[in-house]
Amino acid sequence: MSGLDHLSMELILLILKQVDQRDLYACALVSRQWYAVANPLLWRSLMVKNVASFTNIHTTLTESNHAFLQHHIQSINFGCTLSTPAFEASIRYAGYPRFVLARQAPHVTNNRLRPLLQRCQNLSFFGLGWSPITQSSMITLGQHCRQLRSLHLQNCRGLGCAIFPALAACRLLEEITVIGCRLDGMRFPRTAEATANVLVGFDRLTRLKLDDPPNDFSQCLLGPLTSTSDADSADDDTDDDMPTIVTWPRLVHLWLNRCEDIGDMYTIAFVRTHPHLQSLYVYGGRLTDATLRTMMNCLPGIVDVGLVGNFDITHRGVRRLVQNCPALIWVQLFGCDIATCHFPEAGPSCLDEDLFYHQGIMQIRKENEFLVLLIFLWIGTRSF
Amino acid sequence: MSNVRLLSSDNEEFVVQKEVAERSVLIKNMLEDVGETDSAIPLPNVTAKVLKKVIEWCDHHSSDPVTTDETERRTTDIDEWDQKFMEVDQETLFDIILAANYLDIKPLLDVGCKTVANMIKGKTAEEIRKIFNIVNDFTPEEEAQIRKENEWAEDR
Repeated sequence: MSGLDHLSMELILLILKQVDQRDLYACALVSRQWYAVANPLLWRSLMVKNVASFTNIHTTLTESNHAFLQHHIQSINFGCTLSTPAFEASIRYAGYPRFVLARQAPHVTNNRLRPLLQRCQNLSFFGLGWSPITQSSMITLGQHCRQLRSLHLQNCRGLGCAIFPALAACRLLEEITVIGCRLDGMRFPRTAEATANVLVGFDRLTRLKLDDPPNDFSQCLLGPLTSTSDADSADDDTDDDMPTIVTWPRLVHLWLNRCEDIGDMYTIAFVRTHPHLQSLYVYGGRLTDATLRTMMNCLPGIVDVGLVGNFDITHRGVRRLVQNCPALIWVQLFGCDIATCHFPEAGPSCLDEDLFYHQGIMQIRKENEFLVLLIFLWIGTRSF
Repeated sequence: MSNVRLLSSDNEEFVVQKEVAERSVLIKNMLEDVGETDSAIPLPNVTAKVLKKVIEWCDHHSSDPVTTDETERRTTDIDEWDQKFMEVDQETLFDIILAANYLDIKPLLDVGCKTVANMIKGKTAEEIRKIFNIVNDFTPEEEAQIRKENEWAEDR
């Protein structure tokens, strides 16, 4: 006789801890022993996919012999918009969750959120989309949830421009995503400076994704340069003028949108001091091939690069990058001045070239040793 | 490079480089507590057959950086050498997992558990029972009840 049948609960627990949430449902149905181990793990992460799944959870938890399951809940993920009572009941069941995610949350207001944030001092992951919350929720979050490691806010249009100063006490933050939230106000000099100061203080950051980086973001965050060095001298790989300050020693993913003031000088310095970067997106910046050359030399693990709207990038720079970065899988080039004819060595494209009057390249993918160009129709000249 | 002597539960002795043996946090702590010693370290929970396998793994990974970071370890998939290493019969695989847990070798524990987790991935309860030769000891009513209470989690 062999197999897990006669093996300890300890071993089953070790294994099931590595099993995906979606597989735990089946594991709980294997045997009584497996049920005893798998069911608490399954109930640790509630997934409220739709109203029916809420009703199911609600029914189970209100049965007297199942109410105890409630104590296992650590995480709650809303995959749908619930009615206010249903949302509040779910939150109540969750008790003290460490993970809360609601992507479609037009019903989650400051008042509904406050009690949750106030009691969840161990909240580690918080994600909200399309919610009308305002700065007041951010202040509550910053006051009560000091263990926060991941913050994801998407399309929460009521947020003010001072959200980061409100979160200054959340020093453990590792992941920040704030997109579609209209934080244009962060561009005012005072809020920009306060924001930058707080962001620099998050020294455990591994992922940062910002739609509207504050004004002078590059100067505040990408390492203060002591003397000026232009792109050409940076190209020579002289380290003399380069700063040694590492803003985020663990950063692997940086995604910035609308960053007109981010050019080569600071990006090169940043790339040199952050060798762990695996993805770097600078949309609408002013980068040139000099930055690409530094990336090639300093980022051995770079996997994806976003260069959307950086007009001065050339196909020569891109080709060098693609050829010299072994881990690189794709480069986004939408809105750059690069066309398919610049890459005659590329494999089959996804669109027929003859159909279009002029084509730009949306992205380059590397599959095995072949380049694959994804192209788009581009009429007229740069208009943005 | 100094050596360390390890004694399996069935009294077989293994001489290992200290650096290799110290992949095990248990042994590392023991050596720190005891200091320089000539006597063999007894490992009453590990048989010679399994210990040999564990030492083989530690030897191959002796120069890996020691990562304590939870997230760093989670993201790394099983590399090719480890996959090959784990191609053993189920009983040995489970013994390796238990030994890694007892000896406190986190990366080996992870690789072992992930290997089993991959065997479970996407399977139904009946398929899992078949793979691991497990007897279904639920009554039909119990099974129906569990399906009902966990309906929200069913992957459809």
